[in-house]
Amino acid sequence: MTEINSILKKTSSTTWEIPATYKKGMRVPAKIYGTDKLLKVLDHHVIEQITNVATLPGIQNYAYAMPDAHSGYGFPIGGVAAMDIDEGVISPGGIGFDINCGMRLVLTNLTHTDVKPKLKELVDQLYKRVPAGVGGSGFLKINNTQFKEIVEIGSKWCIENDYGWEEDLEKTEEEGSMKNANAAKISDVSIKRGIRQIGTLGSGNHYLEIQVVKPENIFDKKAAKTIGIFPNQVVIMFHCGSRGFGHQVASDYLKKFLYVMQEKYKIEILDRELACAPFNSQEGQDYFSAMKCAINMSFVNRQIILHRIREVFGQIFKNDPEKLGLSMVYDVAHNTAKIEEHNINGKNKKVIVHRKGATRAFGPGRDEIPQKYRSIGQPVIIGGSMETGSYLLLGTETSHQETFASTAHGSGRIMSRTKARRLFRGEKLFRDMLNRGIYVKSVSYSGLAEEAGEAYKDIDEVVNATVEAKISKRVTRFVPIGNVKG
Amino acid sequence: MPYSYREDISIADAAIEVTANSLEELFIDSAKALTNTMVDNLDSIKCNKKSKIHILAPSMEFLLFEFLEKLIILKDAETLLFNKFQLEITETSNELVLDGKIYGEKINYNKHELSSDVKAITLHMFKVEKINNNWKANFILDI
Repeated sequence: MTEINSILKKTSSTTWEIPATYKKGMRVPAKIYGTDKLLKVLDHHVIEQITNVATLPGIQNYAYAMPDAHSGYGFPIGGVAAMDIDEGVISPGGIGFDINCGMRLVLTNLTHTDVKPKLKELVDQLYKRVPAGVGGSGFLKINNTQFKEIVEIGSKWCIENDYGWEEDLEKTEEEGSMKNANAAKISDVSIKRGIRQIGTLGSGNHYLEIQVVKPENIFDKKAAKTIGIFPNQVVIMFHCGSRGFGHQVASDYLKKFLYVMQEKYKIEILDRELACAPFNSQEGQDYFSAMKCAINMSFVNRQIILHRIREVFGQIFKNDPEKLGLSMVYDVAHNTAKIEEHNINGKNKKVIVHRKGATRAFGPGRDEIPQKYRSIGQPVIIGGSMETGSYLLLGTETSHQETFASTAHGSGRIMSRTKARRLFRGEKLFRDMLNRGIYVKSVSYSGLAEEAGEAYKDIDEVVNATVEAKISKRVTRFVPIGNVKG
Repeated sequence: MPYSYREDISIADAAIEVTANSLEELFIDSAKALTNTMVDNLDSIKCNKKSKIHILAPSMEFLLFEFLEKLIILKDAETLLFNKFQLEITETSNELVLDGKIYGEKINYNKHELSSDVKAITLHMFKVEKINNNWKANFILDI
């Protein structure tokens, strides 16, 4: 802590700055969000990584680390940087390998009392119908041409093929489709990796969870009512991304950028994982088009998973999913780069905002937010560990002014996977959680042990930091009762 | 075990250090470390499928990177896991060449003790170096 204190200057109860003089080449200062308690568990690599980000060409205002930040590759997870469109770069390392990894939250009109007797059956069926873990394959049988079509048009393809409801599109960031995605810019290898994976959860920290809204956990009754949340309600939350496809897109372009970055564009970087190209260069635009394909694939992945969830609930409760109220709250991406307009030094300016393990958090009034939420702000879904809980927040006006409309995305790990496997036994964890009313179905007990609650930061503290910093507003907290893990 | 997990390097993913007496051994043990991250019991993978490997790269680091990436691609594209490797590394005037045969089988949920899915090999702190008469590799797998 002493060492960190000598580097970071506390500028408010939840913000810490590192001046641009800290490291040669920094173009802007860095700002880390977090409470005193979170700073005590801050992964020290975050400081080096976020100050490396501050050296990238075209970066505006600050390089930001959100309260759940932990070390990543190039950028830390929880890193946010906005680059000038004309002078700045685009970096796959600022978006993450799992392009458009994100969260989807779905309502039901069922209560905990309705679901409790059928919980095991529900989780077991969801585990069967939503493949998870190493080598998981989805049910869609498509050819290369169809895959290319899917990644160019996104979730709309699902609606046209009866894998969703029209209203799902409005409640998905970008309406489930990034425009100008170009499949000519993705490799055959990336298609091979992704073609069987639509409708699959993956592994690691990806999950599908059944959760409950306890009455005492509704913090903003008005916003909760607008969204459709009520006490003792059961909701479904899931977390996954663009699977092997997105990873291959990122790897392909990371390598391409390494070859051109220094020789062709004379850009010096401090970490190979920050490989980048000028946004307006051919290479930069090619990656942007390919990345949009991965963003769309991920929206489709989550849409197909929602389709399966609706099927399972309909089958088990012997009712139409519509009558069970299985409507989406929202789908948010937390690994993206997007062109957005922000006020910088008093002027509105278009920038390419990189968010890696950070959630877009537009405040009230923005056109990008669905009409239903425009008066309250964009829903922000924060996934916690499988043992603790998760949150629904809203974006704020302050997040526009301070963080390029960004906030946290989850808990953030504080313990290595190896250590978690040493400290926790999967079978015991399974039984302990069952005794606490949480039924988990996991591909493996070792994978389960890696995801133990103690391996993560305190989700309540992460959310406290975002609320105290006014970059988010709290709506409700969810507690898990059922979980499918890869 | 010729490889170990470096908890001080990565907490969210798997940072691996491999040491070996020869380059071929280094590549084989790196591949086993990759597979072992996904499957607890390597011996449960039988060798009833064979793939040929032919990779060219400008440096030893990129040769290992491309090799490990190839295994990840085969895992996703053909649901294959490998645990036996016959490899040969040669050098031409301007590049390094990895040739070989790799053996394994299709992923079987009932038989293999599956763990975390490896989604990518990263360049973060990726290093291949010769120390005295031994070879050492460090790399991080994205989980």
